[in-house]
Parts: sequence; C-alpha cells; structure tokens
Amino acid sequence: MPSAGTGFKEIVINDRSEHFYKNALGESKETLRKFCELMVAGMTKPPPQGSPIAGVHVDPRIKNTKGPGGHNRRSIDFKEGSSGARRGAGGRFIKGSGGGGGGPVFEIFTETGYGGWLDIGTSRMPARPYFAPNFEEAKRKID
Amino acid sequence: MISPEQLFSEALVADSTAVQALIGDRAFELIAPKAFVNDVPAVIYHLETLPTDFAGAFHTGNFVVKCYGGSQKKTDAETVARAVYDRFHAKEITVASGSLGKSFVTQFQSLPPEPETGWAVYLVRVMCLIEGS
Repeated sequence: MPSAGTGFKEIVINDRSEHFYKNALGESKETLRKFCELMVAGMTKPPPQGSPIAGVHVDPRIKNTKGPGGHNRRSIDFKEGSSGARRGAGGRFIKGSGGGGGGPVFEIFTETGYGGWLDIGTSRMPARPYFAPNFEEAKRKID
Repeated sequence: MISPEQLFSEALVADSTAVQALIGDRAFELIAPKAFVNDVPAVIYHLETLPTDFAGAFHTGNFVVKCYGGSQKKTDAETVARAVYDRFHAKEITVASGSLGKSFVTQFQSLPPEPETGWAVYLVRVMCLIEGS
C-alpha cells in the first residue's frame, strides 16, 4: 500500500526464520533418531545360527530364545537425551552428544555396566568392538 | 601386503621415539601376556574398523590403544598416552615395512580402573589413512 506523500511502498517483512529453524531442528532430530535406530538394530541383532555365544549355540528356531550370553546386547538402547552427561568405559557410554547450542542430542547406551569394556577390551579380555562398526554401518545406510 | 596391524605395531615401537623409550617392545596386540603385571609401561592395541576403501587406494583404520603406566598411578598411564598422542597425532609415519599414511588422534581419555585388575589405563584412539597395495 503506498504511503501517503512519500512515493515509497510499504514493505512488510515477516520473519519466518524461527519457523524454518524449527523445521530444520525437527528434520535433524528425525535423522538422528533413524540413525540411532539403525545402530541399535545392528548392535542388538542376534548372532548367526551356529555362532558360539558363551560356549553354547543359539537356536533361532526356538521362540523367545534369547540364548545364553547376550546380556549386554539386550541392554543396548537409545533415548533422546540432554547434553552434558558422558561416562567412561565401565558404565553406560554415551556418544553423539551435541556440542551445545540447543541442538538435538541422542544417547546410545548399555545398562550392564561393562558394555564399554566389551567394546574396547581390557588387558585380560580381547575387545569385541560393536559400537564403531555399527556406527560406520549406520552412517553408510543413512547416506 | 603388510597388515595394518603390523605397520601400526612397528610405528609404536620404532627406535628413538618417546613411546619406545617408555614401553620398549611391549606393544601387545589384543591382550597382554599372562606374565604382564603392569610393573613396566606397556600398550595394548587393536584395529577396530577398516571401513573405507577409496577404490583400493586408501583405507581408513581406527586403532584403539590402551596405555598402562607400569604402576597404579593414573599419571604414569597418562605419560604413556601422551607419548602415543605425540607419536601419532597429525603425523605421516613411515616404518621399515611401509607407510602408515596420515594419522590423527581422535580420542584421548582417562578410563575408570580396569575391572579385572584395577589398573589405571588411558585410551588413545588413532585414525590412520593407510595406503593400499
């Protein structure tokens, strides 16, 4: 609408940056959620038939058979988290925490208390890495 | 082709480095020998992933290095870890058997005492860009 006497048109700018920010945040969150789902699915996948788990073979044909061992595997999960928490190898381990700034944060964790040690090994127990390989696999799938 | 583990092991204990001065030839793959009781500094390493193959030219490999100081003191383990960090961070390492390519330290962390032994341990994660054959 022309302003009286000035010859200039009035331009109204609607700041929609917040709307776009919220959309981008939502999409990021969904991508991260999907990433965590892929990782957790990879880490909790039962071993192939015939694999020796704690010295006993798992038979997937038997319903509800979780098999011996696999306690750590069954305790792996993820949740949308809050920034700040970070623990060492002996307890729950959390990776992928955001660097602050209010971005989405997800936590992938085990609840056994020794999940981190299984991943990196100790001086007496060889490592059985499951975090990094599944991280790489999820990254490949999400790309 | 020389295995990445062998190249990494050679790089760890190569002569005239600070790491070698501390650990000598005590760079163990996967686990320590039973006789090792952490009365001398040592490292235990393993190759975690070798995921990327850029048309056969390069591989990236993540090595996990657990550092033990030869005592119960965390500071002794940290001394070994710092030497490993200095050896590998932002370096291009060539050893007798070949080239380890470019390497970077991506994690440097003090861990809780090891569950079975109670030993102080530091973790150093090294990413290497290894040239293919």
